[in-house]
Amino acid sequence: MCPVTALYKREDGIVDFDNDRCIGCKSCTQACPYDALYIDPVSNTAAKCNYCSHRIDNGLLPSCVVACPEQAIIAGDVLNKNSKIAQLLSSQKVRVRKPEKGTAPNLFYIDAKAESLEPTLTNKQNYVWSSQDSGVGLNKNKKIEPFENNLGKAKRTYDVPDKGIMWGNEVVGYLLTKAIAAGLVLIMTGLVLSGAAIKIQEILYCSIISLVFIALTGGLLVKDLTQPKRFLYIIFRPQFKSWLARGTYIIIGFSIALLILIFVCLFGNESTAKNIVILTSPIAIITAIYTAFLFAQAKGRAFWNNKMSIFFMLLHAVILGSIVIAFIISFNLKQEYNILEWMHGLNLIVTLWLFKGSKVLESKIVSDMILKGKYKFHFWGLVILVGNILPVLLLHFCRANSITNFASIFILTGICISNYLFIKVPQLIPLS
Amino acid sequence: MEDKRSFIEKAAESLGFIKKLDRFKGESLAEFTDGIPKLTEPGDLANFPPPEQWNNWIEYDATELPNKIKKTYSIIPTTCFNCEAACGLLAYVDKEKQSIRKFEGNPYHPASRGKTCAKGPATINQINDSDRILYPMKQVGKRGEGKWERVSWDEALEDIGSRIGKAIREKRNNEIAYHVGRPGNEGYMNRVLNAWGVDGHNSHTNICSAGARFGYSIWHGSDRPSPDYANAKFILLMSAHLEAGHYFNPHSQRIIEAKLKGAKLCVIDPRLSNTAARADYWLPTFPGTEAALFLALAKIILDENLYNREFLENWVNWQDYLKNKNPNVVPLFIDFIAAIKEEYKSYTPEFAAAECGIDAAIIPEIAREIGKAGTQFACHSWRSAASGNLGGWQTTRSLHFLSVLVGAVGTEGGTLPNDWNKFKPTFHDTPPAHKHWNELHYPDEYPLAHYEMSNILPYMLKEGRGKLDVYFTRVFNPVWTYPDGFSWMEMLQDTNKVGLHIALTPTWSETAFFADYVLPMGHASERHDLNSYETHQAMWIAFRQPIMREYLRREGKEVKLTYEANIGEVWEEDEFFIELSWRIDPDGSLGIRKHFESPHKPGEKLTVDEYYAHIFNNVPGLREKAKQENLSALDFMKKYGAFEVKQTVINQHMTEVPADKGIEVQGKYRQGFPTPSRKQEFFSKTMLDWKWNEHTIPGYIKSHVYWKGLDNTKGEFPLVPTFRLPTMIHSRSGNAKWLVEISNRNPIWINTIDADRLGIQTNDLVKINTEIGYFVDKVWVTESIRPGVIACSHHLGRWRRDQDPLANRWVMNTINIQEKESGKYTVNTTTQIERYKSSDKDSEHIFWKDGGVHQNITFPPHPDPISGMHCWHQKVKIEKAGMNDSYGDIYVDTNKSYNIYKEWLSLTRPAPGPDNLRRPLWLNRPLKPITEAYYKNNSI
Repeated sequence: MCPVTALYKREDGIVDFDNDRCIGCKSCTQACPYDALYIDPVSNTAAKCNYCSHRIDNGLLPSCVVACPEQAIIAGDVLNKNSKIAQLLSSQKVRVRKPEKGTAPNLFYIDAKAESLEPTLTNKQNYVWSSQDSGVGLNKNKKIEPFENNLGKAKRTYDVPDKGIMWGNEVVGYLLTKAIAAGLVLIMTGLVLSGAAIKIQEILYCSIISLVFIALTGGLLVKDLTQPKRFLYIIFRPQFKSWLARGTYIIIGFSIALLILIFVCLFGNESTAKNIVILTSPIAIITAIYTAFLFAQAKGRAFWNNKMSIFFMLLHAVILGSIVIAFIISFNLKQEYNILEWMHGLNLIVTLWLFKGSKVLESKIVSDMILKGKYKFHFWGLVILVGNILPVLLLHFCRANSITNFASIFILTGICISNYLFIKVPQLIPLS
Repeated sequence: MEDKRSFIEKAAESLGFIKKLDRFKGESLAEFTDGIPKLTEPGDLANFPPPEQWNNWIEYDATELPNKIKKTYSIIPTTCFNCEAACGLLAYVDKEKQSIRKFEGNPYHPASRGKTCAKGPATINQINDSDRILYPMKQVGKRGEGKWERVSWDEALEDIGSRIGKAIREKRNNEIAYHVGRPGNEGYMNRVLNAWGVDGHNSHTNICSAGARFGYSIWHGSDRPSPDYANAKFILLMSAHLEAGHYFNPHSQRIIEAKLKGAKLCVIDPRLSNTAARADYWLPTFPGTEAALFLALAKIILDENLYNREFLENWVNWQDYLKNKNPNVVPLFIDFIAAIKEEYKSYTPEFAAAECGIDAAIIPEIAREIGKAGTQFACHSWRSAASGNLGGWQTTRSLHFLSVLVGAVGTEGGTLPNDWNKFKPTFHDTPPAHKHWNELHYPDEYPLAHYEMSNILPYMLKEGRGKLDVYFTRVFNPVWTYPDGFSWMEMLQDTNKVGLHIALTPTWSETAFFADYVLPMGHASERHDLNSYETHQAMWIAFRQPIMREYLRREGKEVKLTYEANIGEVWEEDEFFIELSWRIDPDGSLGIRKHFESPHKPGEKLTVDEYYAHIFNNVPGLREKAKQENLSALDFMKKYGAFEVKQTVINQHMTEVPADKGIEVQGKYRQGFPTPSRKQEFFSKTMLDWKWNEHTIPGYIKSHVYWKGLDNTKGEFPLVPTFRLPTMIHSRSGNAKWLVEISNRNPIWINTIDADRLGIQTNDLVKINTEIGYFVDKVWVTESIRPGVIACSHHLGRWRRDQDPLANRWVMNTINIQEKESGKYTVNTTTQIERYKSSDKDSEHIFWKDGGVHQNITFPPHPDPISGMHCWHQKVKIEKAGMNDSYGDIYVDTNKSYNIYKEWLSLTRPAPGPDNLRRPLWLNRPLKPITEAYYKNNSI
């Protein structure tokens, strides 16, 4: 998932890290199901255990193996049948952490209990000998939210400090600004295709506003980097398997399309502009939904691996686009209300469906936290009632402008909160 | 390396859009030809750099990865000083920066074998601590006022030296005391104090291990157990030994080694320690009832004929026992067995199970395991039950009884007297034993104490039993570590009781705040010491050496004194005491100076190299071993840091000796054990002679925290306050950030059943009421402590007052102390742990606020009337904290603690004993005076 190949696998199998390439997007901290990655507060780049690759290159065993008084850590070549580790693997019952993630880990545990392998089986709060008052690294000045969805009875007595939420409000903001930018183009397309009387001037305004929002999107993305000065790396050292790198190019593509559109609006005629609007719409759709694929790539977060998020993001783009466009263009959108109502209904279903989660345990925990747990007021109160039901009812029964504005604010609130929950809550699940 | 960069990256780099890295996937694009040759064949990895390369070891800098930056180090061995075990460390001196980069284990150390616990590598934190004391400091206000001024070493040495010299000239020899927490060397200070002619050795033993020591001593003279875990088949630990005892690293290695070979492990501890969690049997006995369990095990071993008849018949003083019972009958072994079966007949499994609160069915099972293991039964007791309870020494004595019964004393896989493991150095000059008896250390009330009654020093001074003119505290923090710290503060602030207080310490402590001089002494890598401990079944020595001094020597820039190579003006004690002795006796008229003169250059000061060269030259086998590498013994130790003197040390009691030095066993005169009978003393005539006729044989004494007298429903519990964490150094972890990060609070452990009954949950505040006050702490609700018992670890709750220097900020709370009425003190925490700016960036990343609560200060003195051990466990009343109680609040009344001291004092049966003796001559004591001094009213 690393967009710049800062994280890589050496020929000997060690997963190592090049902090000179790292831009600090933190996606690796979401991708690794084992919580191996963190942001080093000194270098402000990601870091991880690298099996002491500098020692391996010297011909020395990793430090933990050398220091451990109890021979509890055995390192070696699993492929060499004569090695101690290979013998242990063939003679002992071993387990790995999170085999369901399909990572084929090479770290095996002899005699391990489920509670020590499965992080959600224990609470994560203060420990017996230590406590955490504030976050670490980039969350240094933030408080830490304990994880108290205890499925088992075991108590976590010691652990490293909680890293906290790695993708915070910048990412929520980025989702919203991007949705608005893409949504504006999508609504324009809808209007153009339905033959509505949209003027070239209005297309220009919409395009400019869309461009502003996509620029904001980029700004938020850069702000979220722990190495913001290296933001160009994502463009110039791309690792195209990463949806972050792909997304960057998508956003660039979309921005170029908008620039063309603006150019045509300024110097061309209305029908060309309308055609360009239609031509821009595919990349607007991709811009709206690619993030769903990006989140799905974060293997550490099972909740994000949900196809519903594609529709979640697309619908938000359309709805936000329609709200914003209402402030820009002059004619009444009333004829479109039926279709928008339909969109709202769909959004309600998609939202419910998405937050229902999947059968995967971690996803289920997230869903429970949102639907039944700590965030149930956020969800049922703000997202469902205020964000969906109330505005739809309002719009259905009354279409006065003031009411429409109220409804828009309600809708906006619902979308903001649902994105906030979508981003934040899955990150509260301990990965280790 | 093939250039795998994408076209985009290449273009962007060459156009200068982005920084040129010339690297992809960690590999340099220019072929990396200048790599370090690998130590091993591919697929094979080595533990350590080979010693041939230690002078010039090159490795890649981990923090520079993936750039392969080569770093050159000089690797120099020393030993750790963060617990007693003195594991081997290798210091990596960065040749470019001329400073120590890191510490790893030393593979040539026979006990630690290259392994370390968390405390060893944390030495780097201690030496780099930005708050450490670099220069001598003098209190310029009233003692404890916190007004400090830097002084020169010369001024400090002159002041202290002349004062000691004056005291000695005025025959006030008993007013000079050296009070040590962690000794860390073999025999050095005894030599100094004998040379001065003072009975000035005081220690921390009676708040640590007096109970265990007396239990072992009374059996066989040696006061510590040395289990041969690696070869044992059944291991019984009375404690959370791996973490609560010493020697975590060397012992745990060997316990696991035995377990991997199929040995079984039994842990007796009310708390599920890390050790208990790895055990086959965990017996959470009520505190102080352990002896009942051991005697029940003994009974089964006797009843089921699992005992080792040959050992008992030959090596136990059963004849003395029978003769004492009936002087007119010829003693027969068979009668002995019958008699002791009768002695212990009431110790049925059911009785023991009811006393201890465990399942009766498990007791025969364990007894049979011990019987089956036979001479390969290893056991250990230190601190825990022996140091917690009134009569705790009987728990150790009854535990050792099991080793005796199955003949597992001094055997392979058994438990050895520690004297067999410890190397005793010979010095170039040995001053004669001193001639004094300091009653502040060995008061008449405690003739059997093991050893100095340091735990009641403040009360003895309060009673007017004497004064201390010059009082050294060294790696010793009684204000914080001892019970009733306020009485220590009162004592230290009273200049009529303590004339001059000198704290020898690398870092500020609660006790150093109340000193006149604080003299900075080196950490593990900044000092010399000789080490030898009973870590396993062998004998070894190790050499703690100042790393930068040795580094400069290797580089041909030798310095004369260690402080010249150390940071700031940090000295080492070896050189300090040589220098101080010269100042005490500048003209040699007191006969002191001569012991600190060079053996080769008369009239010049002794150097540490001369001192250690003599010791090492006289270690059997060391010169020969060194010669193989064309090294002197001293240079060998400087290079490798350790030497195995004997590979095996078992069965030394069997050693044949001349008739006058031994005892006849199996037709030969043998060395035996250092007791009056030269045998294992099941029956102790000493106890009889010293008026303790009810304790002549192993028995069971009910503890002062005996559970049956406590009503849990009213919140009454025994508090187990003694247990340690394997990652903490008593009160010396505050300057080690890595250790504090792991542990920074000490909640009260309480079982779920008890917590439910009292309506408390994890993290709730509770008030723990002791006999002299209370402290307010959080709770940790857990099944890892047995119901009916609560526990609290003792490392945390460190403090400074507003006026004290900033130090140990990783862990020290700032507190406010108020004396409401005379002797009645309240404490509240004004500031918890906070981030701060320093040369160490990590101080800005502190993520904890909680620094724990000081519990020991609320405990009264409980000196055991026989062993002298401070019986740590407390009868407490736990209650929910009230509206006005805050975390960390403390209240103490020192008037009450003085009264409790008096109560416990009244339990004693004072000297003199037979022949007007102050103490049995055969019992150990550190810094033994001449024999005449043992007699009361002798003319000396």
